[in-house]
Amino acid sequence: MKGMEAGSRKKTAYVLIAALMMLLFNFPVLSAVNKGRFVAALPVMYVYLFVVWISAIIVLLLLTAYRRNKNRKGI
Amino acid sequence: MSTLLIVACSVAYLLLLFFIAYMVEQFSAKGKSYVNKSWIYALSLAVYCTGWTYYGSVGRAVTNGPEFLTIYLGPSIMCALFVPFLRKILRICKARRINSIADFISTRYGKNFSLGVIVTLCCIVGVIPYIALQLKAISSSFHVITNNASGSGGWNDDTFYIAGILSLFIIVFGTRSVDASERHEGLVAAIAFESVVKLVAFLVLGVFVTYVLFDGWGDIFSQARQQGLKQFFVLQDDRMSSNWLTMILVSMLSMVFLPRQFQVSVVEPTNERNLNKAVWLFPLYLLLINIFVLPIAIGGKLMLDSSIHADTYVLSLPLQLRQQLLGLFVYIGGLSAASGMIIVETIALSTMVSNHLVLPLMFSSSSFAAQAERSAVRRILYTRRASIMVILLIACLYDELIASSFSLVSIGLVSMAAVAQFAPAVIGGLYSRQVTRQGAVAGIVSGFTVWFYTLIIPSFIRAGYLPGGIMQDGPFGLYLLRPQALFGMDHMDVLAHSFFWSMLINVFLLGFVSLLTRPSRQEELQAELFVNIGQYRDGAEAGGMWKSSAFFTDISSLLANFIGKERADNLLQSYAQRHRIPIGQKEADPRMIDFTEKILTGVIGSASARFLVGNIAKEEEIGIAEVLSIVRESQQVLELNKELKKKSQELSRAKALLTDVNEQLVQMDVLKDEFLYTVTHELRTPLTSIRALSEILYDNPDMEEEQRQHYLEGIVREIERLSYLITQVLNLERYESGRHKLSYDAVDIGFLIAGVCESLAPLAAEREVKLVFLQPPSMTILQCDKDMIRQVVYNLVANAIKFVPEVEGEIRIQTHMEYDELQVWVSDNGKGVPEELRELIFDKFFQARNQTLKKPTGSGLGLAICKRIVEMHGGRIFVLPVLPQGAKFVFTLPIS
Repeated sequence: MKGMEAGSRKKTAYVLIAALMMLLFNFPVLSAVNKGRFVAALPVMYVYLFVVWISAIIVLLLLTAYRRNKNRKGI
Repeated sequence: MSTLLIVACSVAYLLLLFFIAYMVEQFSAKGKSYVNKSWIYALSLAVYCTGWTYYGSVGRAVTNGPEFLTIYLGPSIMCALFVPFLRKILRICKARRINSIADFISTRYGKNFSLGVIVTLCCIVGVIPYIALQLKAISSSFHVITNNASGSGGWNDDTFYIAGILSLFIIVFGTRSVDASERHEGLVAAIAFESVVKLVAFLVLGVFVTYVLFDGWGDIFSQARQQGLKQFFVLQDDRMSSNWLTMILVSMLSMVFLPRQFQVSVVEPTNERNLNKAVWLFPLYLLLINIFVLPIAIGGKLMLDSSIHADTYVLSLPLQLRQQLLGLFVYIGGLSAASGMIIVETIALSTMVSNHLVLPLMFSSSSFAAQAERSAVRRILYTRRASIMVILLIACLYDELIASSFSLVSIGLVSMAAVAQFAPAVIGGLYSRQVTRQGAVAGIVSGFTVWFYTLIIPSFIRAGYLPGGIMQDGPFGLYLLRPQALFGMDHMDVLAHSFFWSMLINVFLLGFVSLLTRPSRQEELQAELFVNIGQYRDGAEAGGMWKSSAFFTDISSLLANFIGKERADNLLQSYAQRHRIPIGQKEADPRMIDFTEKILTGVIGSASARFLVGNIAKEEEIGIAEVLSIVRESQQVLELNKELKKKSQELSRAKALLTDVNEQLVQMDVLKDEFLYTVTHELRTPLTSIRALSEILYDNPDMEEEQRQHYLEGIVREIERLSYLITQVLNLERYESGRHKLSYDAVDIGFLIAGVCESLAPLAAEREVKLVFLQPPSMTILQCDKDMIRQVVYNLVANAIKFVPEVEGEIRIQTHMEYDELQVWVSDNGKGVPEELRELIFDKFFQARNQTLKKPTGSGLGLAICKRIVEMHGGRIFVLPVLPQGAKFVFTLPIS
């Protein structure tokens, strides 16, 4: 029962990440960086997209790894 | 570069793929694992990145700026949804041996033939152009690298050759076994290898452009700014925001519903753990393959002739700069991207075509019934192989005849938008039981029609196959129905427009028709099994959907027709053993029939499997309620099982507890026996003396007065000892059983000890022992049972008097306050207590049981009683050594 609860919380976390990615990768958030400005000679639009992207990947990696550790403990 | 060299390299690369696939299959046949499978499966997902990605991303970046990223951001978001969404599909497919998207949809809606046909046709129409695009990517990259301008006009041989080699590969590794739900491990490994090749090739080119042609990222971007290439960095068009969202949505859906993605993400993995790594590894892959797209696009724009098409920058850049080797590597990367897509897509499509188009036709024709005796294995394999060749042939023809008039870049997106039409039926079917077959058919057909009308018809018009007036004035002069501006919505990107309308109508009709129709009982059953897969995972297997009867020989020969006699016998026997079904009966067990259908589903799809099994099994008319109750029953049995398991665990825990208690009881019994033995022994000693003394007196009536007095004194003393002993035993028993209640009084402990000392002074004087009580400086009053504590002090001091040597013996008594307790120390200079006995001396009859000790006078119960009393007060009692010689008995009493 406890494991099931943890599983469904994990599911919620994944859905939340997806929703957040959907939000951050779309307009109107993007209109803030879609101005053709540059930061440290790099275009802001790309820097923004790639930073959000890599952060999402890291969060997904941590979430997945966390689950596996838990499983191992459970066994 | 010479054509021969390029051809040789291409063929060598494809042979390498053959080799890898072959080796992996050899390894896995021996049961060896070559590498962690979750890496392989995660990498195989990258079949998503096709030749279109490889060459086209750069082209798209040149024209539309950052927009090319949407196609990769969408799948990255989908990866986050893997656990909540895709895993459910995966579980259903594994439990039901479903092997394609068409099979999935047709199974969900009652194992329906027509739905399978519709989905398959949609896939063919939607996806074959995409395959053609890949063939085109290979052939045009071939022309670029051989610097051969031909390829326009006339029959293009090399596309045909490429298709030929690839179809050979697919037939060898993709149709090895007739069971389509069986894994193609070698093939998946080859695809994963291709993913690595195209990524490395693209990264090498990117590093070359960024750090060799330019001076790093900063340089490349500042040069682009100087040249005024603003369109690379900003989304220009104000329609972009709707298009951006559309592309993210379309690519998200295509990540699941494109036949090849369904194949690698659902059909190929053996279990959901195989995809653990994909959740983060696949988005990382997508990020890496995109990181150099912009530098390459800018590099191409700045350095190459403006006549060169942006789609070929990837290949033209190294070639124009005389980097032949790099160019060759990049070409191989593009070849791997395109061939990987063609291989997987064709396998997925051929399974659908053979299972949902050809086989149903075969079964319905009368000739099949006549030939049913013969093995069907060969025919299915031939069908599948033939459909592979036909699919690739159509793709070649398409490439030759029509593709040239399409804008190539959009073909990929058009395909993705086509398969997105399955999304409402699949998602609705996964989460709602109300969606019906008619609703699904209406949704898919209408959505697909709108897709065709808004995206395909315009390209026919542009190619000149249809009159151009339709675009401006609408068909038959109906202005509102212009293909790219339905109902006047013209301020939208073409793709966004099509996606919006097709999805709107698709979802609306799906819901509306579902509301008007009622699902059949087969549908209701499937809906229940799909929606609540978590509950029925095992139940669906154990429960038997068929309440039917069939002869065992019929069942086994049907199965043997499709998977070979040997394997069929093996499977049936092991299934019977697992579920303890007796074999050898004439009638087959319903579970056997169910199992047969499941195996057949893996081979020929659920609708055909049901049709064939239905032919030989006489199904009884049973209501949906009954079927569901069968399923639920087995579910209840499972739950009952769980309950029982829990109960039996509880029982075994209770049993362990009982065993413990029993052991304690046995131990206590032994102790009690020991106690009784010791007590009687102790009682007998004085009794013996009394008896001996009184017998002497009895036998000698004329004994002298003085002597008689002496004997009588002895008798009285022994009787006193006896009664003392009995009192002690009774006391101890009373304390231990808890019958004795403490009566608390406020007691001045100094006064109490002084009283004891006074009463023991004669005894001390008799043995010439010094008895010292160090009065505490102030009065110490605490709550305790006065008489009992007095007994403790008395016992300890009396013991000390007994154990110290005569004359030089000295006993000191003092009190000591320590935090929250009062300590009473009784120290002597006797021979002390050896360390190993310090706990034992508080046991009952310790003296008696240690015969080696010289037996002093006393009952042997004194210390045990002390211990009991102190413990009843919540204190402790222990003994410490005194230097140079002696023992210090300490007992404590809590102050509060």
